[in-house]
Amino acid sequence: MSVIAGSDGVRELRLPLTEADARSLVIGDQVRLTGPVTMSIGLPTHKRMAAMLERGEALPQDLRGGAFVHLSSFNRETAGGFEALYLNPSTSTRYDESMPSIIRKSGVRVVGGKGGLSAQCVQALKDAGCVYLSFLGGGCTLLSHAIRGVASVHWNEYISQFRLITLDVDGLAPATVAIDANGNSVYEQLRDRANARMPDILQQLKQARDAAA
Amino acid sequence: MAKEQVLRPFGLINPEPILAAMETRLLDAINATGFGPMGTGGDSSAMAVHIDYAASHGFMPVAVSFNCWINRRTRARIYNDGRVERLE
Repeated sequence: MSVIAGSDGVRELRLPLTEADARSLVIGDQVRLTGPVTMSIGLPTHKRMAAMLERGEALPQDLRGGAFVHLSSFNRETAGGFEALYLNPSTSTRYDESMPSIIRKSGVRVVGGKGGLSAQCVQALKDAGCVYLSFLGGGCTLLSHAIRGVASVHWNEYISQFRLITLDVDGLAPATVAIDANGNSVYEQLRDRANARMPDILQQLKQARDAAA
Repeated sequence: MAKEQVLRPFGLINPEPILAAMETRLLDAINATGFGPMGTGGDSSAMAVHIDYAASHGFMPVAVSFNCWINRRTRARIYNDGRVERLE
């Protein structure tokens, strides 16, 4: 079991996770992530990963039980390898097209970024047993405290942030389970709730405007 | 113009009373949606609304700029026969 209840109510995710671990998480859970976390914000990177997985080829970084997230990171080349300078979330919907293949075929248990994923991806997460984490947009300083080192960097022909980067992190947070492995999406629920509230909101807006006129 | 308003210091009240009142009404309406920080639920979806305007003739484009949301580009080719080809 790699999901541990923290004393502050935040659930600790120690990678790798099993399918049962992933399915035990529910939307709204606050989590901290520890272990090797793979990331890229490259569109070509995502397309390449999806194409390789669809052909049955192995990725240069094994994602089974692991995490693959839309976090941007610049890695400076040093004499001994690479030094990660920061982490910062990117908008996940940009990768909607490639994510179903990556979720279904790589064995990944945690994906994430900001803003959520498409309905097709929600279905893939449910089928495969994987969760989506919402990271704090613009929370670079806070998130970067968790960086412990660079485990691997692949596909160096891309710019740094587009490469397939695996960083060792300790307590990467804050993060919220926004789509769980049981078909629940906080984005879908909040959109439905906002749509239901919209007639009242517009009515109140109109009244306030008329009163001001 | 929208980007200029993003850079208006937080807490600085719009000097035009009509716009200042509009900003307050829209902020209340936006926060009533309940999307919250990062769209994962809560009372604060927006910290502020900043509005500016300019005169125009015959058309009135509106630009909205909100926090780092990168899904903002698209490309299309419009042909003489009215056909629109989406390129991305």
